[in-house]
Amino acid sequence: MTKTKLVLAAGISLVALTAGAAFAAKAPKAAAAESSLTPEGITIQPLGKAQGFDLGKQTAAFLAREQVAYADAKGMTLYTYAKDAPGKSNCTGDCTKEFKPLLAAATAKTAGIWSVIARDDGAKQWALEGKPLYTYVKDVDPGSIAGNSPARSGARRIDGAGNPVGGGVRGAGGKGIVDAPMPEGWAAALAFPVSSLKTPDGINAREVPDANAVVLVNYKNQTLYTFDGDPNRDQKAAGLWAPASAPQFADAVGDFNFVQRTDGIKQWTYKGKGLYTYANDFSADDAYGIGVDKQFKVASVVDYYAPAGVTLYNTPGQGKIWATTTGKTLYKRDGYILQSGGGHSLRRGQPQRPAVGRDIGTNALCDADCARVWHPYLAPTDAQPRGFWSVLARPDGAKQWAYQGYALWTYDGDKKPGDMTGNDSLQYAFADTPAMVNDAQKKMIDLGTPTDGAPALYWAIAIP
Amino acid sequence: MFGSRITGARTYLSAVVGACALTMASFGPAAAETRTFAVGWFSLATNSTENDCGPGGPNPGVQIQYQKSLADLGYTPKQIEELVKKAQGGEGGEMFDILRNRGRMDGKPVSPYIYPATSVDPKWKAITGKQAYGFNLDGKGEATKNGFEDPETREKGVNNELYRALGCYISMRGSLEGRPTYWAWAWGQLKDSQPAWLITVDGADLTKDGPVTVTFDRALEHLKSNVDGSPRADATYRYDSDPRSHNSYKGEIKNGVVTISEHGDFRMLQNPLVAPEFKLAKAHLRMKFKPDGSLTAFIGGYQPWSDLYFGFASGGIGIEQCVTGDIPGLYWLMRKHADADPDPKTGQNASISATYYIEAVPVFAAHPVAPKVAGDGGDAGGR
Repeated sequence: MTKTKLVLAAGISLVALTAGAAFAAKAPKAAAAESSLTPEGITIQPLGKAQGFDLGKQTAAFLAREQVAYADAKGMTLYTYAKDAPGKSNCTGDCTKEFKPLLAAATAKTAGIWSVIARDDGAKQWALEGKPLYTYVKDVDPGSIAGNSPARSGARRIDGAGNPVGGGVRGAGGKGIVDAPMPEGWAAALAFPVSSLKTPDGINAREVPDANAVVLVNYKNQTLYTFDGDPNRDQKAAGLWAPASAPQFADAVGDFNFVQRTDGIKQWTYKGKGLYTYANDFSADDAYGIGVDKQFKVASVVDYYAPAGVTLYNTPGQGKIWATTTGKTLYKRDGYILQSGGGHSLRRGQPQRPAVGRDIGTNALCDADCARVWHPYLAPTDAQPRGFWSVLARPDGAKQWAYQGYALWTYDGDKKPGDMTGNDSLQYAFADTPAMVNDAQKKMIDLGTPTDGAPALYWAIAIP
Repeated sequence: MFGSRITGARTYLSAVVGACALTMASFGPAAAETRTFAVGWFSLATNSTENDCGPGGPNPGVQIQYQKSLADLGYTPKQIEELVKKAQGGEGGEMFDILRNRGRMDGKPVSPYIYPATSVDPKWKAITGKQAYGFNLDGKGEATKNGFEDPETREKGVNNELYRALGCYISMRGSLEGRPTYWAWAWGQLKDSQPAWLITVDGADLTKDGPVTVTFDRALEHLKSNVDGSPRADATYRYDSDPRSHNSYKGEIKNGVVTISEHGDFRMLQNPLVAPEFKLAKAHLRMKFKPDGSLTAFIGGYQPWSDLYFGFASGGIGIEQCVTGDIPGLYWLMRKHADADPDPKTGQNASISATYYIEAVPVFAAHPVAPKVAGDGGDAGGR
């Protein structure tokens, strides 16, 4: 072999079908409750290890996201201050040298749990449930908390711009790291866990990606749904929907109450609506009940944003995938991780690593053949980062959508809704000698799996 | 509701449409048989025998290979002894750092896994035995230089240079029954981490000689296993419609052996742990139905050896120590024995003849229908 082998497992062309026909009538359903959706310019970021700086050769079927924080447009964690009064910031003067108020645009409006307060100097500042929000100057990477960057641990890597990132730069590679304490009175503003939610025993809130939300779950972690109607008149749901029963001695807690049904079941209610499980949800994180019946809606407590033009589409083999409303499956470009015993081909076999997605950015390191069939999923020129969605600037000035750090792409090989013929297309990078590697290939080697083995990049369907 | 075709092991499907029954009868019964199987074992077809690696037997284990690599780098026997002693005492960091950077470029250490030609060719041994499972891929028959004889069919001129290249590595040694360590490990990973592979055989009567169609597809489900880890017979799968893993060949069944007469390309997506894709050119196939309803098969062709090298090399020193043995050594062996697809400029062959062994159990399979739940389409969270 005399040169770097870059193999693109390109899809075989399919019989041409009119793409998008099935999607034409599938515009996104009614927007999620405005009460909890992040406004434009406010994002959410998993904290700590879930950023994916530190995965290396670790076998990881799923990288647990223990905390998800609200963040500014750059992904920097937002904080609240205990000494602030509701709707009033007491962090002024020297305080603002360390904690920068999250300023709102003049046009920003209060919506649900999000409000805009006036600072003493007249500036507008975002507030969450009345608590003014700030960024911390010691946070330098998305996913940081109290100035502790997740990039301190893990293997040293090179990002898409050629900058070294990871343990060798901001820490000791995971050895001997001592977390700085949170400054007194300050707390990260978390989307998950939902600290303001009071739940009765046996009911919790949990991130359910397929619901694109934090939702209520029962003691088995089964997704709960609300019923728009009198629980005693839910007979048509018999067999598919089971009332979430409350213990006979249960008391009302916060937004949770109960109704004594005519069939003798004491049923939990949330904000006045009966709670149910769906018969075809077998495991934690299942949310197959979504869309089955207009009267049953997933019981969400924090809704994640999705841009117009993007939808979650059901597929027989891979469950819900992100797609355009015109019928194109959306993909991300990711670094391959060898997982002995793991599941590269499993739906969540390789965890989301926003840090790696950001490193790759809009440069998929495609060769000419690849670039002909893979296309950036462009965002409107005025698109703003929001929730897990960010907006990346392409070299030509166009904007490209990114989800959880990964730039999004479409593939010409997909001809009809649900096709995912670019999924798992892998390009590996090794060469006889370093002298045979060009700049793009060198980047691919740097961006690939942070092991000592041969690296690769691959295309993967974008899933929630 | 299942799709338009339901196939099943040992199931005869008689096409009888009520209103047309009499008309159909005038043309005779339109009986056909379809059997579907899920692959329950997949490995390089190995046939290790005594003395097939020549004097001294197979190549040494990785510990000895590493000592040779250190010697090739210029370490003295005493230095090597000290490094090994430390490693045996649980302080192998220094030795492993040297080994994972044992390539040399302008005198500087580089990864031998990413840049294998920077390592010293250890000149490990290859098979010198005369027998290997496989096919006469190049059509030269006995005229093939160094061709093998297939131990089952006794065909001569068999091309299986991948087996020749790898067969003297301890991890690759075994037989059809005594499974090689590497492949036992690899299959253990593959079966749980990638969708099952389905083989479907269509014919008029699969108990008799006659034409058949053989297809290979991926399933949407992973292989279903019994509690002892063996593949479960009579489980139900759905075909994946992804055309990248759909292969169909005309063939025949003769004396209980199925072969294909079309020797085109073969392509299945695979867990990159072994190779990103399982690709063969000039694919050949030989399958036998077993009395218990299962089948065994040999599938051969020319395979891009860089795909295989990536599978070995992506694991780095961890996989090298625990499973494969010297990874750059594998590179040099495959590079040397590759026997097809020469580079027009250098002459270096990019593909190597290979034959794999498959065991498969009878299953049911259907084409999937679109989900009926969750809106049967788009929603942005479903609320």
